[in-house]
Amino acid sequence: MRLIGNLKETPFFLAMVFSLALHGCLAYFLIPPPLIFPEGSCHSIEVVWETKEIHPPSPEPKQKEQKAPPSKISLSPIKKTSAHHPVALSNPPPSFHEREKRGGESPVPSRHIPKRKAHHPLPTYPWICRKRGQEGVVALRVKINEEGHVTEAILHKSSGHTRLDEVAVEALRTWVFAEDSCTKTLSLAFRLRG
Amino acid sequence: MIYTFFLFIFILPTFVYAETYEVIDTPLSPSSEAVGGHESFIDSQEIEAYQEIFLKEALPYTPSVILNSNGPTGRKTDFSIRGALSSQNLVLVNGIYVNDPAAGGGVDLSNFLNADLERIEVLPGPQSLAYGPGALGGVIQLIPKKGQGKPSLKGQIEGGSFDTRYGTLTAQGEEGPLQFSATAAGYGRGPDAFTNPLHGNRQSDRYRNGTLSSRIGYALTDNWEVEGLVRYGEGKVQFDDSRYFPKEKYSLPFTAQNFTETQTALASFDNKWGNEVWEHSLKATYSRIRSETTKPTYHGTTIGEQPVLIYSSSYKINDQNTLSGGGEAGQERARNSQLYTRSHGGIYLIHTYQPFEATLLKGGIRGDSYQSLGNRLTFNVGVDQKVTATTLLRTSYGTNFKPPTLSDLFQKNDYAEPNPQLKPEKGQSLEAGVDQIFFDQKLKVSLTGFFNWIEGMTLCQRLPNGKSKRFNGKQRVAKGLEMAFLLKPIKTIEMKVALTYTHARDYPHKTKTPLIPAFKGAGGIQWQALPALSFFVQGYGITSRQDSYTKRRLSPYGTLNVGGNYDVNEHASFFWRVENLGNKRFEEVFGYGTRGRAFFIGIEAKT
Repeated sequence: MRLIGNLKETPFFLAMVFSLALHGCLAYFLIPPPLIFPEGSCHSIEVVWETKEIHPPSPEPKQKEQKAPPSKISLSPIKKTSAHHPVALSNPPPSFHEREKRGGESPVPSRHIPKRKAHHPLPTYPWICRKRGQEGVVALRVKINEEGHVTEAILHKSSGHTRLDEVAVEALRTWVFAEDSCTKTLSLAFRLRG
Repeated sequence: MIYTFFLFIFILPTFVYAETYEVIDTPLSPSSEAVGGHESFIDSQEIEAYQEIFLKEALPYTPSVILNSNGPTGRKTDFSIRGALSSQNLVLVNGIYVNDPAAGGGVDLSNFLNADLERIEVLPGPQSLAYGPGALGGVIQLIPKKGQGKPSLKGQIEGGSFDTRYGTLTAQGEEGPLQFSATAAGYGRGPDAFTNPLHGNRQSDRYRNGTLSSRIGYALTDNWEVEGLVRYGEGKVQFDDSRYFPKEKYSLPFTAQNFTETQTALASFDNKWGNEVWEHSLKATYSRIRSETTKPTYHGTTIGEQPVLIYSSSYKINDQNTLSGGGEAGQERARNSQLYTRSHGGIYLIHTYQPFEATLLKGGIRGDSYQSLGNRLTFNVGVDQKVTATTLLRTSYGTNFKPPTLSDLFQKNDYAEPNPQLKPEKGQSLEAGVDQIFFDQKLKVSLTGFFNWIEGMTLCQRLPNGKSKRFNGKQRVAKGLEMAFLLKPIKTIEMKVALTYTHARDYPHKTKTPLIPAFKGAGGIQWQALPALSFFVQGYGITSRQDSYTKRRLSPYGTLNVGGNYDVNEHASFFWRVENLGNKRFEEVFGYGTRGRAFFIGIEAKT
């Protein structure tokens, strides 16, 4: 009570109110507004696959299989637009529509479609977590569909820091796995060194 | 059989198929200040392991700090860093200035409890540019706890000799973007006056302390955080009157119904934003120290206040270059019978340059402006050179100044006359050292040599009317060596030692600087005997030194503390300790004896 009484004697309250108001004004003008994308645009990745070279299937498949030759099909993305970091897909399988675009020709036999390369872009360590010295291991259980994409990512064990958990889940949703149609448990360890 | 089946079916596949990915980055913490110098840390784990209740119990175990208490716990405690007295150093609580402009600019460390502290940092020497004027010897920064991990509650009570009672309650944790920590602590001792066995004089020994502290941070976005800190501490101590003792031919303190009540209120609101390249912080801080002295024939109150607005920023130009800069504006207020104020402002810029992987250079400049004192320019430079993976050489040089405090300039009371002609004290500091790691990090050794010059020292002179008056003296030169060892021979034992040699002289007469011993040794050993059982031994000793007022020689002394901790389960533990095991009777200031051996026992419960 004595403290409160003494504080009232001083312009402490005025100073605090002024300070809060000043901070608010500065924050309003100095902090850039968060990027807001129209609904649905955040995950819009348009990928058009160009067939560079298509050779007819080998007449001697058995021999090819023994030598395990490199794939003759090379698919590469020519156009990507993404509101987020581009997801670098490599050698994805042709989609149903692409197969149709090829004039309904007999598609390349499935054994010649190259296996997907796994693509696991790691998340950026959030500035606020680095500032707060937050570290931890996030364990996640993921369901992967037949195209290698993650259909479901469930937090199996928290790092103890909500933001690190969120960042791990967000990153995992963009991953492409070589395997398909399976469930995996994996972990992301966030470490601060130096 | 069932267990084996369970193991193979459920557990092993988890390990076999689990993939681990690592996201590694560097922590974002201000490191440019430490370039060229040696910084000492005491963290909360160490504080808890050695059961150190007060700040004054933890600080002597850093190489640079020497304490002088006017008697036992609660009594006025001054300190020195590299020959500079408490008023010539800065004490901050997370950036809030604690030095009292109404009491000679000094800081009485007696009322600081450790219960809410996460870290104690001691930054001696010339690396204190960003902290502002006043750090002629160094900076002591106290960092209160931030919430970490799941929300939890922890309570502790203990009691022991001399009617001592102590209790703390801490709630802390993280919940999404919110980080919070709140601590309440209370300490009480006495009433039971004791007789100083060295002089036979009765001394009072009653003390109580209450501290409330809270720190709350909220991340508004991934790049923006606001944080508020409030800390309030109140201490009331009984102190002595001086009485002439013919046998001693001097006045000694004698028990009396005199009390000093000190209230310290600190608050800050910090706004931090930025990214990996550019960080900003805008902080409003406020400190208020009210000291009330009550004697049967006297009553006086002083109030010192410091509202300050601080902006700091760090810009990473590229991998080699980082610029840190900022500015502050504030006001000092000192009040006893009248209110005196003084405005001040300052800006600084520090450039850290890493031309090679093993070399780090730092240069900084600061300009300050004080009302009625004019403008001052200070600078510092520093170099870190990594010779091998385990050897670091460092050196730094810097200048600083300390403006005369408002109380010394203007305040008039029953004991002191003001001196409006006082000039700032000017300081220069040079240090060089080496950090060496041996045996795969099992032994870390740090050796630092320092020179510290202070010109225009503010000294005290006794006037014919019995009052004291401040004046600018000549020069103080302090030089010495500081050594710190950290030895971890096996996982369960950790040993920490700090050794200091100081040669401090006051000119023009080249007299010994009072209260600075030539040698100081301090250290401790922690032993985790069993997973649930641990012990510690802690020792502190200093050689003889000269008393400040009486100019008498104070005897060397050494004390030993031992203690232990047993975890009953993950939620409860009990602990014990014996302070001053050898029952040594000693004085840090002439006439003010300290108590003998003391026993304490307590329990801790946590969620």
